Amino acid sequence: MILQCRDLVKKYYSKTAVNGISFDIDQGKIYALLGPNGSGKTTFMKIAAGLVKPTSGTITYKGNEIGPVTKKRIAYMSTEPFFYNYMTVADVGKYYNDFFEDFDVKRYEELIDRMELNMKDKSKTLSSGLAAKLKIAATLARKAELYMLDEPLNGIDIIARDKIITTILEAAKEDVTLLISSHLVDELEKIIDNAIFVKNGNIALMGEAEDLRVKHGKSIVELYKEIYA
Amino acid sequence: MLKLMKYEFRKQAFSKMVILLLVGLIELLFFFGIITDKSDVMGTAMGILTIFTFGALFFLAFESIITFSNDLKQKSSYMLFLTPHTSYSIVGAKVLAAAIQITLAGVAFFLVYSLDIAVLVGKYNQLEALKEIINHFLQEVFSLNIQFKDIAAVVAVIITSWISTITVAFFSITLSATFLANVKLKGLVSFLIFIALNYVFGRIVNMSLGKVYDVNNFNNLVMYYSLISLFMLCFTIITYIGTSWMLDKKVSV
Repeated sequence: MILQCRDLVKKYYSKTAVNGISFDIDQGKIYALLGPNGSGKTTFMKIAAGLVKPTSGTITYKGNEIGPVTKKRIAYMSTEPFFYNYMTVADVGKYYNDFFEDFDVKRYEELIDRMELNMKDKSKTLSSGLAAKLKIAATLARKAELYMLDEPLNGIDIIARDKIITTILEAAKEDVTLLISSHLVDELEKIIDNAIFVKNGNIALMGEAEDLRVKHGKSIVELYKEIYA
Repeated sequence: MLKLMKYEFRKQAFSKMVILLLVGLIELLFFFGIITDKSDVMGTAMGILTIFTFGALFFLAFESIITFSNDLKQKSSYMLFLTPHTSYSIVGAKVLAAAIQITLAGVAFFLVYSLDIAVLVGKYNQLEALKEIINHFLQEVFSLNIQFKDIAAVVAVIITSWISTITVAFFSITLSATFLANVKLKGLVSFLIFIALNYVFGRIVNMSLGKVYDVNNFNNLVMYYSLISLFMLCFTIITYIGTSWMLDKKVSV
């Protein structure tokens, strides 16, 4: 396993976003973190990325506490736009290149081209769809060990979704792990190895996707509907 | 840390360009007055420059505090806190960048004033009187036995006090983002903490040094101001460590 969390809790005021979850993420697999808005997916990812501090419990990546060492290995893409307003698409690449040893400039240029973005465009003037593509290009241009993509298909039109999914799958290699959160379950069904269903900050169901299908006699989409309906 | 500092400068570059542009315009007005020999235009330009200097230095001093506050509140904070750097490096880069910017701005304004005065002295003979006043002032200063090291000690106090103010502000803002996150009007509360901490630190300095040194005795000037600088440095270290620790262990962005 590479990512291990035990009894992880995160409370905001009186609301509990993550309620004592424990699970492991294995290397070289594609995980879907599933659940409706407010189920705790984003909070969990932000804890693993080091942006949010847990109220209690532990989380480690290859035995290391979340911090500068793990941030070198984990590439996180948040669901919200987060680039500085002054930045152009080219500035975003320079920034990532300055801070991440695993950033591949050529790959970034290639992805920017594929996403039909312009290096001179200001990030703050991009439409929501283009801004989402920029986040994906910057994140996937890193040669990280673990990619955590929070709602990567948000804001992406139905035509471009296949292109995004193909790009995400290009990052999936034997030693690379992907953790993708989404409520667009049908888009993920065909590409995932494992599924984790999160409900009210708890794990409602988790396991290998094929095992879940066989055991419950239902697709991941049907299981999703059953759990959250 | 240098790369972090680079982006701190970049984040605040726009205001520097605006200040530079405005100083350039004021200087154009001043030199127009010199060329056309219009003393009222020169006087107006110098007046605007004086007011602008105070405004600009004040703004620059607090821009770094505003930037820090935004870095904790806005989503762009992810850009900063996703980088593989410790919170000690992040806060350190912010403090150093702020110190360098305000020092450079001070030097730049000093050079602009020096240039304007040199031009005035060179152009008008009647400004001989000004030179005499300056000479007289220097003699007065030296009769008080104030030397370069005394001036250096005062400059050191100004710089360390200013850096201490910045780190106390960082500490107050971070405190409100962590332990006071549930408190209503936390912005106001963090401002009150800032005022209270500065008051407490000021009291500590006065109580510690006031009894030992007679401020009116100028023989003690260097030692007195050196000790104040030392106190400020200690306050800076305490608030810097406190801020970095809270960011590392408690703050969620």
